[in-house]
Amino acid sequence: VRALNRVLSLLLAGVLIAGGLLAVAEAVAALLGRSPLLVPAAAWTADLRARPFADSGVQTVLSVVGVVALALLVAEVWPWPARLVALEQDGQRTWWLHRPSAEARVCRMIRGTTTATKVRARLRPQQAAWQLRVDATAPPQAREDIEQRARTLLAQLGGPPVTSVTVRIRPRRERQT
Amino acid sequence: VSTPIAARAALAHAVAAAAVAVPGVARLSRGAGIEVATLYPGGKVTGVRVSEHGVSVHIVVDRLPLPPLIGKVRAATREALASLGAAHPVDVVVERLNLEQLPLAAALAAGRPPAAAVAEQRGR
Repeated sequence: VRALNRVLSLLLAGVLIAGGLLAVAEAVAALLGRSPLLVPAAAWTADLRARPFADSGVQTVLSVVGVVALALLVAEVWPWPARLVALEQDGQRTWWLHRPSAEARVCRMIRGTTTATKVRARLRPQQAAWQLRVDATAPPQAREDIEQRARTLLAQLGGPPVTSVTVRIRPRRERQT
Repeated sequence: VSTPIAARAALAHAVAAAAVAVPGVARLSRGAGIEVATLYPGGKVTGVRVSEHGVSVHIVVDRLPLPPLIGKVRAATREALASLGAAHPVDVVVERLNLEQLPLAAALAAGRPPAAAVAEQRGR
C-alpha cells in the first residue's frame, strides 16, 4: 500500500502540475485577448449549461468516476496482510521476515522433500501466533509429513511456538488408460 | 537529535560492511518497492537506512536457522556502530531466503532425498 500511495501521489502531482501550467497559460492567453490554447472554455461552458443531468453522457461519466473512486477506496481500506512478519522482540527492537519470501520457501521445501505438487502456502501472523495454510496436490497419507516439515521450517525461520498449520490436500487426478 | 549527513554515510557504510561479513548473509537487499538506502552527496548505501530513530539493515540470507543468524547480524552491526561512537538501535529485516544456493551436501545432510534435493536446488 505504501508503494501504491507513492505512485498515486506521483501521478496526482504530475496531473496537478500540468493542469496548473495549462491554466496559467490559458489565463494569460485570455488576458491578451487571444484564442484559447488548448481548452475551448467558452464552448465547453455553453455545452455543459445546455446539457441536462439525465443525459446519457453525464450519467456514464458519473458512473465511471464513482466506480473508480469506490475501487480505490476499497483497495485502501482492505486489510491486506502485512508484507513483513515481526519475529522476535527482545525488549529493544524487533526483526522482520519478508512474508512472501517465507511462503515461497515453504512451497519449495514441500515440493522438494515430499511427493506433493502444485503447492501453495499462505502465512498469516496473528499477534503472538502464526497461521500457515498449505494447499497441495498429494496423496492423502502425505498430509502428516507435509505438516511436520512445515512446522520444522517455521521453527527454523524463528516462528513463535504457537503455530497453526493447516494442510489441505487435493487428490491427484488419475490418468485413464 | 539528527545525525549529520557525513556521519550518517559513515555509519551506513560501517553497518553494511559488518552485516555482509556475517556468514549466512548473502548480500544486502534494496527491499521491495521503495528502495531502502542511505543517501548522501555523491552516493548511497543500498540496504541500510540510517535515521535519527535507528538503523535498519535489509538482508538476503542463505542459511537457516534464522534466530542465531539474526543475533550475529545485530551483534556485528552494533559493534560497528559502537566503533564509531554511535549506539543506534538496529532493526534487521530478512527480505529474502536465498536457500537455493546451499550446497547439495547441506541439503542431503538435512535429510532430503537426493533427487528431491537436486530438484530443489535447481529451483523447481
